[in-house]
Amino acid sequence: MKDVVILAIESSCDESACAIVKNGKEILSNVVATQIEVHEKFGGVLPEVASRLHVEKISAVVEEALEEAKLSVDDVDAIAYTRGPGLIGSLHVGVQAAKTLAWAYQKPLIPIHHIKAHIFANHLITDLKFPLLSLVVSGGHSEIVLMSDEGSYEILGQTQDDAIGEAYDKVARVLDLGYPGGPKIDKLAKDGEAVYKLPQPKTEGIYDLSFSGLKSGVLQFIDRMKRKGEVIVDANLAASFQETALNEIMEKLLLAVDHYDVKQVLLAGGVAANSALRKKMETAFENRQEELVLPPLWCCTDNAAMVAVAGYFAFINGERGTFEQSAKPSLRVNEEN
Amino acid sequence: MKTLCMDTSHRYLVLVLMENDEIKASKSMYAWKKQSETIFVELINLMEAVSWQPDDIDEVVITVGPGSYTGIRIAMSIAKVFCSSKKKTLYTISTLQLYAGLDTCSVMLDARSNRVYYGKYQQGKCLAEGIKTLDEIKALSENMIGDVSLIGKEDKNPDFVLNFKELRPYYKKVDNIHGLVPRYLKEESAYLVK
Ligand SMILES: [Zn+2]
Repeated sequence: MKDVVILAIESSCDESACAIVKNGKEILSNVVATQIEVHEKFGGVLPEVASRLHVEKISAVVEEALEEAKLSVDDVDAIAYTRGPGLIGSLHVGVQAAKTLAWAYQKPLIPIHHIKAHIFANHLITDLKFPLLSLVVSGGHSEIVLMSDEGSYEILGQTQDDAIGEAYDKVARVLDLGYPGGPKIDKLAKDGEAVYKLPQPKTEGIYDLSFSGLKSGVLQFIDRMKRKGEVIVDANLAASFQETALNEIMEKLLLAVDHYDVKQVLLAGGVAANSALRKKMETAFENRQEELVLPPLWCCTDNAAMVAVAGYFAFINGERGTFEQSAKPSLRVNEEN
Repeated sequence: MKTLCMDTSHRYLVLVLMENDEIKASKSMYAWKKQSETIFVELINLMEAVSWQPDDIDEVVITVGPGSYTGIRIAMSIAKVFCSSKKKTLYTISTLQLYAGLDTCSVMLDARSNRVYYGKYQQGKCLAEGIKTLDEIKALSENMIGDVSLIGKEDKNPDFVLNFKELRPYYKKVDNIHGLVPRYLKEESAYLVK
């Protein structure tokens, strides 16, 4: 079969990225202009600021990806882009950039669902085997997804309120750890023990998740300790929060794995870089049949290579986008228009 | 010399295809918050009408603001990616100036919260540009166009297509395409939590 080269653009949140990937496997370039330093200053991602950085960076990122791959847009087979979900203003920039390339070089356009791309990132390190279950955890998402084949996607459970990454950010703010909260809590928790009792989240659906109650639980706990004049060990609180949140996730995931007969279990999304979560996953799947896939840290955070991989599968399945399709901040999976 | 002009910075979507200062095809439509999904559809229609290929375009002209932040970024994202990858020349003009054209008039565009983007022009020459409150605008007795319904009159929109053409002497060439950013009302630092 002829090689398929996909150029992909990702701009759904705070990374302006362009990548070129051959046959869904071989990364020819993977450029990410990260905005993290700016957002650190603001204590989180402000949508307007993120959009500004995207329009500032987008053309340079595309050029760099082409230079690094030593290719021209003429050499690629299709342009994939993240259509949603994400921040509307940020998405717009990437969508227009992708459409511009598709129009100027007469290439097919392939809209991609951001969370699907996170799951497909795992294909960069190992072949995906279906059916699979994926735990998608990031600043904006916490979902348990069942995929029976590369085109299907069923959300078994998802967060009822905050995403796990959001909960980390909020608790990190309370502990004055700064942004982004995930890595900071993860690090601090290593020096502590989960000795504080925090409320276990409650949800409706059996695979659903919830984190806002836990976040308020942390605040109430701090208040209570203050009233009693007791000293809180921050590292212990970080460890207790993390333990409670991750146990919730693991419990739901394992319920799903027990119920569905799958070949692989994948971790995906920014919080997949969390060391405590990875350890829990490794321990839980040590003696199980299902193959556990933990993505390397470089492909957990937002990047365009993962969009290119998802784009590759969509391309060979004959999926094509149109110029009428606009950014969709709350894009559902398998949504046509 | 073939020129593509694009404005998405306020309430309209304006596209003009010119060849040596002759308007070959154009589209000017009300497209408030709809520019992102309509711009390529309309552009492709216009290109087909005149049988141009994207490669035929030698230069691009866009408005750089002030206006709707999201809106400005639509045409600018397209222009930056197109001009940098295809090595085309890029020019900008002020959105306020596109409203004024070569007339002698003042322009007011809604900047929300009882403020407007204001510009004063004399046959292409910019006498003033900035932000004014509605009260300040009401105190002026100038020939005002743009979102004048904010001061109780009927909105006055110019012939954007003609203005794009006539403003050629005022196009500003962009030397560093990658570095181009819109003109915003608030600096990024204004978003810092104090
Ligand atoms: Zn993501």
